[in-house]
Amino acid sequence: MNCIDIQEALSSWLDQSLDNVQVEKLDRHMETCPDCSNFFKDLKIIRQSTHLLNPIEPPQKIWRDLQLQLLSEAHIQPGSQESFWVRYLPKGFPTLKSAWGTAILGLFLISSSFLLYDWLPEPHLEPTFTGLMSHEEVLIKELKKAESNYQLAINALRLGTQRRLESLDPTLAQVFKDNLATMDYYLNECKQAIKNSPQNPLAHRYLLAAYQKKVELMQTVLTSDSLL
Amino acid sequence: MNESQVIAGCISGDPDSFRTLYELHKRRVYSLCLRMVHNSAEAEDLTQEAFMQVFRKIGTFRGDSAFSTWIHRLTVNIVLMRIRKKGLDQVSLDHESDDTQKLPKQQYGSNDIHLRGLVDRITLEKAIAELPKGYKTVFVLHDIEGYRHNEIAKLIGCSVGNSKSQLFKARLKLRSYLMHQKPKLKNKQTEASSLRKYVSNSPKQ
Repeated sequence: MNCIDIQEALSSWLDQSLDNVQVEKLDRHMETCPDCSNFFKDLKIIRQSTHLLNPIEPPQKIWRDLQLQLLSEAHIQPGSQESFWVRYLPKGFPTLKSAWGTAILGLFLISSSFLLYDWLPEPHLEPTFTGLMSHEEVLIKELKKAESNYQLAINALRLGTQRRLESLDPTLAQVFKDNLATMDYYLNECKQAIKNSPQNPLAHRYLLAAYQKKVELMQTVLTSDSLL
Repeated sequence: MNESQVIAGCISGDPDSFRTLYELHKRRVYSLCLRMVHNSAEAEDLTQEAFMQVFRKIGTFRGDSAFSTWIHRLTVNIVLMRIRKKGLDQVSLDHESDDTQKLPKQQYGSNDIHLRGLVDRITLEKAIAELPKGYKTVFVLHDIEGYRHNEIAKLIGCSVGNSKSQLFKARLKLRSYLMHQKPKLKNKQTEASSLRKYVSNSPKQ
């Protein structure tokens, strides 16, 4: 047997398909032939390295294309396909969380606005040096005072909130940021409503409620303990 | 969901079941396709085709083998058909060439030329990609996917002896390719040690 034949036999031996007589022959040959001995060592290294090869992650477009094809062949029904959130938004995006969070917050805001309307005390009509003011004017004046207090509170909390968000788990931080953005949107809507009808106390009450919710949210961020 | 529930779900057209099935097997299917054809666009196409076949034929699965084995075999058949269709098996699987005789003597390894330590994944993947299609098919099926020679012989339509021979040649080629990578590694090591010397000799600030 020449070295080529020996090495082919060694390749088979790696797959454990030789009998003891053959194995003994190969061992004896390798004792005197460094070429074949090195060859066998290298085969084992290659084999070990091959076993460490991991499966490869496929690109996401394959699943999207598959879905289209499954639909076109009517393997799945159009109405029953996966939800918009899962299909179009990136994996890991906190879609359900932020959607629920926004919905609950919105609901809370609307219901608390109605409650606030009932809870705010009727203002006392007191004469001022500028003369008698109407009930509504006094109310709006008080509401504006409350608004500026809330604005001060928000400004005071802003820096701390930003720093806290940076130290939080990114997914959680993103949920908070989304909710803060939603609150800012509501605040702007309320401010716009006040611009359109500045003497409407209800618009001011809505704005106050939105400020209150924003302050509460910022406080929640500051007291959150889910860190990176 | 357990496997039988997923299969039942797919048969009844439940999209979540399709998704679950895909997520469970996508990596192995795609890896097999990519390593066999070494072209990502082709591999994506083959992966999609493989899963479509799975979804079309899932009703015919009888449970004679494990479901993963069934999917895998289906994928291998699809890939091999594509390779044959495109005439990509450059080395005829039935022809036992004597190219081992033509290999330069140094390939058998002299005393000081051999691999030291495990080969990194990227180098190995590259080396596998360089193999001729026929050798690559047998190597991927045997050494990576774990098929036996009698199974490979049935799959690709050759003899068991031929499958073993192709595997041996694939391993020879791989070894030759990997040994040629060594001088680059040696240079990197030399550079690293030169850099260390430079740093240790530089005046401290």
